[in-house]
Amino acid sequence: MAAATSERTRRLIGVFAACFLIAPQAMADGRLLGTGGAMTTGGAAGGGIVPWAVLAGYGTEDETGGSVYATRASFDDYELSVVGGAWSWRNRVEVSYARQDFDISVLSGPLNLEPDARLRQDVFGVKVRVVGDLIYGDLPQVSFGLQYKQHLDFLVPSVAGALDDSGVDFYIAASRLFLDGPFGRQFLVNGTLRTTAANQDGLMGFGGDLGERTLVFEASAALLLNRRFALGAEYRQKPDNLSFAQEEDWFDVFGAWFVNKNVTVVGAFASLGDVGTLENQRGVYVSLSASF
Amino acid sequence: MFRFRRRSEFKPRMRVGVIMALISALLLASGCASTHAPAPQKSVYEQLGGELAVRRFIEDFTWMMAHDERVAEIVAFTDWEHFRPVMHDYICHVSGGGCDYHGQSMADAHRGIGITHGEFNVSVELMQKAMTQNDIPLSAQNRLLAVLAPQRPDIVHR
Repeated sequence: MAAATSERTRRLIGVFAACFLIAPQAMADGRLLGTGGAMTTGGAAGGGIVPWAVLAGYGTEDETGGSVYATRASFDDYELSVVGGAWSWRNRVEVSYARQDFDISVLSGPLNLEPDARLRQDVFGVKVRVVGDLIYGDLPQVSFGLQYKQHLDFLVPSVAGALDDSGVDFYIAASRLFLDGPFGRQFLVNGTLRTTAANQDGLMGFGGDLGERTLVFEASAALLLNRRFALGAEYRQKPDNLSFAQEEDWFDVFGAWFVNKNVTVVGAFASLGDVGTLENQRGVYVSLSASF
Repeated sequence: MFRFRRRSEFKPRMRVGVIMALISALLLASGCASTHAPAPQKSVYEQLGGELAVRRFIEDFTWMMAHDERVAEIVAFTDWEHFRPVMHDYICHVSGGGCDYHGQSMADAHRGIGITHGEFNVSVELMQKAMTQNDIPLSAQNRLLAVLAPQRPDIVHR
């Protein structure tokens, strides 16, 4: 188990190093600092757990760009590692990929699994900016997105009662940055509606004995203390499809540091509620992304 | 540590209620802040520091614009000696400083230049930099940007 953990850590360090190597070769930087948001665990640009209408990177209408990132979150009984990236075309279309790796070795004993048991899935995403702009004009920026998720270790979810090892989420997100928000600070608001069958974002498979597709609401708000630092909170409603284990809504408070248009660091305190029968999972989340 | 949890009839979702209340409070706060943009008494112009501060930051801003290769194309034919006082009067006019503005409309002033979103954003960044350099408070900077932002359609892609 220790070997597996250090192997994963090495992989993460590799991605972090790649971030800094790619970073100086800036290509697309036409948008204002911070307007690329951060990178969600699902690969799309947004907050940490909620995809926003903004597209990854800092490319404008005549540029292409994107971000690569690595995220690590340690909860009371679990650990989540994510690496991924997104590429945006002319601030119109974003294509993304994320590999999620959820360490469930805590359940190895009780469920009689191999000692370094984990749940992995691939998330392929597309997001299209439909209308509006994050900052300017009458309409907020509105984007449609979909995420195709393919589970890679479906045994545990299937035993728990999940119906499918893959699923598709569809969402619509609206984001707006108010230049003159509370306290004279810029203020970002995002609302996202998603239809999904994913249990625990797909890590526990898709669908179950209590239901399949559900419409859920997600929201984020962030106050930009200055041009480089933002404080915010996110909320993500969740389906509850498995009688095996109750699933609860996610919540986080985060701080983001936009070092420059190439590097973004996010730290968060996240609460996942009950996960896989283990109660009240809280933890610390760190994400680093490099935009190009 | 490991046990099967009995599903209760109602999920205690106090937390959700608290979060939703928080978000709506923030939304409300932002709504209020943007509906009556300038602070109760002081105009944005005064918050910026008045005439001297505004003229100073315009001085720095125009210098930066004139020397930044990213916007070299769009300022190639700009007569800065003419531009500075006009820009001051315009900012003073729109930020409640009480000046008359007799210059061109934003649409006329930028017609035919073909300013891209990227070039526009460079000018926003340089304006922020110039204001910061002149110790203009961030809140006043943001209020000025909020006053200027609606003019963007008259400036880009003309």
